[in-house]
Amino acid sequence: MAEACGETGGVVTTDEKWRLFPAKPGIDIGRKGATVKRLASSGAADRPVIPDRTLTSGIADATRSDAEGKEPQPEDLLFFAHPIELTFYSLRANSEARVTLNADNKARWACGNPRSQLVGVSLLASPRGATLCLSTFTINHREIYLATNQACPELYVRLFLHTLEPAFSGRADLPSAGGLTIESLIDRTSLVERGLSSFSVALR
Amino acid sequence: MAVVPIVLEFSRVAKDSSLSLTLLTAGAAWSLGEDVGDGSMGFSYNALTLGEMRQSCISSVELTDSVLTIRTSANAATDSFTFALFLDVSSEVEAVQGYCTLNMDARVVCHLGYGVPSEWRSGIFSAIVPPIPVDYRRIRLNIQGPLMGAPVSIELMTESSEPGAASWSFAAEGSVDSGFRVRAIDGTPLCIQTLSISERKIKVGIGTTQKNASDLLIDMYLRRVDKSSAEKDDGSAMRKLQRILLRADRGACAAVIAQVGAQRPQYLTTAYKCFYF
Repeated sequence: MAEACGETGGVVTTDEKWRLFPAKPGIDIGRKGATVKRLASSGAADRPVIPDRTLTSGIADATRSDAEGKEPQPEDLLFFAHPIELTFYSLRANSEARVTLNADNKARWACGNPRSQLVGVSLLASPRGATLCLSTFTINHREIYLATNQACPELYVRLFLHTLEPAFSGRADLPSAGGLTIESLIDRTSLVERGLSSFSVALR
Repeated sequence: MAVVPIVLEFSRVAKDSSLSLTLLTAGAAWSLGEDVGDGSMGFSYNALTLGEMRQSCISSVELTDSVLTIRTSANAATDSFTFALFLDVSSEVEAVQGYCTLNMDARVVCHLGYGVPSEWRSGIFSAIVPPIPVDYRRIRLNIQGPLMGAPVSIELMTESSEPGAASWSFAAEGSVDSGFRVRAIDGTPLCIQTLSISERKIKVGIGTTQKNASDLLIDMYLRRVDKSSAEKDDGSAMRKLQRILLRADRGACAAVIAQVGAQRPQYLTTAYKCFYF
């Protein structure tokens, strides 16, 4: 079915798990460069396949920016949305943990993909129902920051990563004896050491 | 598409319950804010004051485009907390509507953009999306542990290479906003003896000798002004002031914290600290 995109659809192949769909007919996607150009002709064969709801990749709603009469911006339009789970272990009381994405890769934390309904950013204490022992947390596009007020045995942060790259990298700053596992759908890394460590996780 | 900062102050929240805020307006969505490096507040919990080891009472929190869900834990030690996040609104949206699912006692004070705060209870809520003033930014000064002694003074400076100047201001021009406000954090009587504000300097004389007096909050505005037109002829007319510098003499108080717009708060010291407009 996906070959229907043919030359103009570009990236879509049937055996690929991760798919990136153009927002609407007539938009061509480069695999990595995120270049978007409008094509003069968009016949029926060029029409992209409507993604089904089980897919976790997505693209921003192009029809909305079109309604405003603006040219869609490439970086707004195209990304894969990858669900990521971070598990923090044995954080001490009154300590801080920080996970920062590298500034050079064009990845950002986000609270869902364009078709997200009830799943976005979530923080969850373990076991379920226990108090989240945080005096503060901050999640912005580049950074996850947690500060504990009690010893915290386990804590989950689930969120989405928007990027075109096949992997993402960053740095984690953990308190002494604290641990962190970062898991994408296909890859995982575990950091268990005091101080600053860098990581890289494959996405597709 | 505008990105509007929003601060939600929850209080009197029941233990072991589920709270949610659902947006109903099409074209409005909760978000993590603009992608401006790591200086943005993003989605944060109790992050507006620094160095305060607040007790936590939530067990999980979830944020999606339309819903903010919070579960409180059964052994909660406190019943109030603050969330800061952003609202993405498309240009045709002038007001947002939605509903809160809260316990009957619970209150949410909502500060949307630069508007006046509104109080939300269980049921339908609505708020007007105020325009974002170009030349004004809200600043919140938090004087922690106020104690009688030398007055607290907070000074504002701009670099001479910057294309403009900045001054303290009481309200953003032409908008309905919360203006200038001084309050004690837990509603106790204010412990201010004197308060004087000049163009670049705020001086607060503290009148309490109690060691554990309530923190003081001063909400006001920063205004940027262009340099006089004679100096603008060299082609720098299009540039606006980007950076301001703040310093504070904290007197006998424990700390002075400043937050500009939706950036993260910083401690003020006797050396200048840089903030982005």
